[in-house]
Amino acid sequence: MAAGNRDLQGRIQSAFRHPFLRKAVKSATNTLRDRKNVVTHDLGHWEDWRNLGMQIRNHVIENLDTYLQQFAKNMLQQGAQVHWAVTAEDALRIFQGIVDKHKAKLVLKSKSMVSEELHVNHVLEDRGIHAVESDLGEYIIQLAGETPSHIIVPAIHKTRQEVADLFEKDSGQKQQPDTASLTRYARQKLRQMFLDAPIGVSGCNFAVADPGAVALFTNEGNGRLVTSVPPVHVVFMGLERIVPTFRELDVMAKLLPRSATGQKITSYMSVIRGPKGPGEQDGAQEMHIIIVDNGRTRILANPKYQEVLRCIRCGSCLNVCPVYRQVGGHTYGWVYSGPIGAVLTPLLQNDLINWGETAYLTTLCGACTEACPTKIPLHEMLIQLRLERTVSGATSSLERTAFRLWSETWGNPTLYKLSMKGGYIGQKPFMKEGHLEGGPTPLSAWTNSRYFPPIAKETFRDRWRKGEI
Amino acid sequence: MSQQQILGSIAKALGRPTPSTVTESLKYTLPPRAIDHLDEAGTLEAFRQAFVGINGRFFRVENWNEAVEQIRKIFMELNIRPEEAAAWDVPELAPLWETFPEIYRGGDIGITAGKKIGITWTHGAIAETGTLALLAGPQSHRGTSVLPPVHLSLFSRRELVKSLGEAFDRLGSKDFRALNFITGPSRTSDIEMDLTIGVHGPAVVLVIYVENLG
Repeated sequence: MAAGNRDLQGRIQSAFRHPFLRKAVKSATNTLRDRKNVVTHDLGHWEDWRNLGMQIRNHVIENLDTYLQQFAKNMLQQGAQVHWAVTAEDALRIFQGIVDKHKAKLVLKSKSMVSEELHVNHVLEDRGIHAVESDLGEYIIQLAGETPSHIIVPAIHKTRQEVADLFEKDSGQKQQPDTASLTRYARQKLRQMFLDAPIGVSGCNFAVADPGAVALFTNEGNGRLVTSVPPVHVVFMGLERIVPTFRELDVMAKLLPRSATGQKITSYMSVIRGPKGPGEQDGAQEMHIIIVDNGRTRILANPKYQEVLRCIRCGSCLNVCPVYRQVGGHTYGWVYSGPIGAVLTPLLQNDLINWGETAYLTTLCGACTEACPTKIPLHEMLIQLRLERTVSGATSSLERTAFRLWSETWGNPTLYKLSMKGGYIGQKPFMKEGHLEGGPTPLSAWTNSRYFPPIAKETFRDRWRKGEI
Repeated sequence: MSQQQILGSIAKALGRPTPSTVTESLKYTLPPRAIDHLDEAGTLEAFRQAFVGINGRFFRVENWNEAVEQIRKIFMELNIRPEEAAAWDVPELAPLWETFPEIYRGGDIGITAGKKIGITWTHGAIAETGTLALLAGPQSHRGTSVLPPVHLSLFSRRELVKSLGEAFDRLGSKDFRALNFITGPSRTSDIEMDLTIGVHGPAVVLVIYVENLG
């Protein structure tokens, strides 16, 4: 697992210092959110579709053992090899075995959040194997040595000039900073790799149990190339990605692209049922599916968080989150960002002490829950995570003492009254033009970045007693 | 080992002693959609509008003679010689061979990648989204629709369906290893959210609707 998440403050500050990030994230998330509003309105009955999405995903979770077995059996019958990985290490060992067997030196990938979660690229690079991301955004951040800052638009924080600089460094040639030229460069560079690579790696948006199939939603076409050009195709699949049949895949195809990019459907949806069939001239000769647990069954066993497994990784909660929109994806410290990342990260890491601070990257406004196509109560889970983190003793003793004092004082009417009076008098040195400024910690933590409203001379209780209210 | 362990964990999490292997299928009805009540002409028009809306070029012809003429015009416009084209070796496209025997009909990835246009037959033309559903097979190669910079596909009335669900009903039970749904050209907005057409797949997607196959 990656190192702890203790430097949340540092990452927030670095997001604020970034010259371009906040503007880019705001504009991109606005665009994605607005497009989603248009296409969901055009489809009509969006709430009904969301309810159906929730119902289907719940049904899958409640019958996950049945559907996973069905899926695995069908894929085996259709000639694919199915592997099961309890931990990240298991998954990497299985994958390494496949890479070794084919003596691969180049592995071409299309976007897969699970492979990000497992840090597949690092492990390969450590062994001298070149793993190349073929999604344009992923390719850019890979050249920059960074992680995705958005689930759907990974390089949301990069300007075209920065991209041109990265491509210049990669090619040793001058690159024009216009999107068409930059895209053309990536196409040419990666096309040859597609033709050369012995192994293609993809994620799995949905796994259809009956008949066994893996469905991928992509726009650039790299998903299609990765799955049909290299002789070996490896699929990394989170074990909750299942849908029962094509009927439910149809419903997911209504929800996912609309929620993710505001498209009615992505340019490509590939449904792959195994290695190439008899007589077929193209398509992978060998198909491997690595079904990854890596903490998911632990989440399944916890009724407080089980519903998070309904997630279809659309990223629409990111686009509406007032915190994500200010700090971007890297602040969350791991591969999943936004409200879903704030919930998933401590759960998948199984570590509230080092990773639980992500649960504070929220205003608890509930916009995420409202945006979610499968109605995951994300903001309620964030409250729950905070509660568990506090109970587990992860918060500082100063914070615990402060809140205990606060609760004892305000729980008692006389002490509450006294505290208001005391506060009114105590605030006077920091009063400036009708608000508070400066002051000692912890007041300064607030007043350094915004105004703090002062305590009124006459409290609500006073005015109530006088009959003014 | 791992399989048993994972399935065991799931069963335990769901409160059962052993992993379950049966379940009742979920019952539900789909919310109503605008395309539900369209007739055939309306469905074709809906397809055309959706397809044009995602930067596709749509042509409607009466018969194969006209289709061949249309293809000739497309070749001229895009400056493509017949030997620079790859196409599926399927019976539906047979009239094409008579006119253009030079077209490459094999499925070699390297050769196909060097062609300027790939020509396919659409097994399901989905009106709701302007989507082309293509079944892969020994004569219908996957690379033809994705490797060359231009993709041209043909279909007739029988292939026209209203929705993705209808396409799955019709094609899902067939014996295939890959079913590709293609909606317009390859696209990305990964650099500053600026839409760019033609990344790894074709930048140009054209469709010819043949009214009567004769």
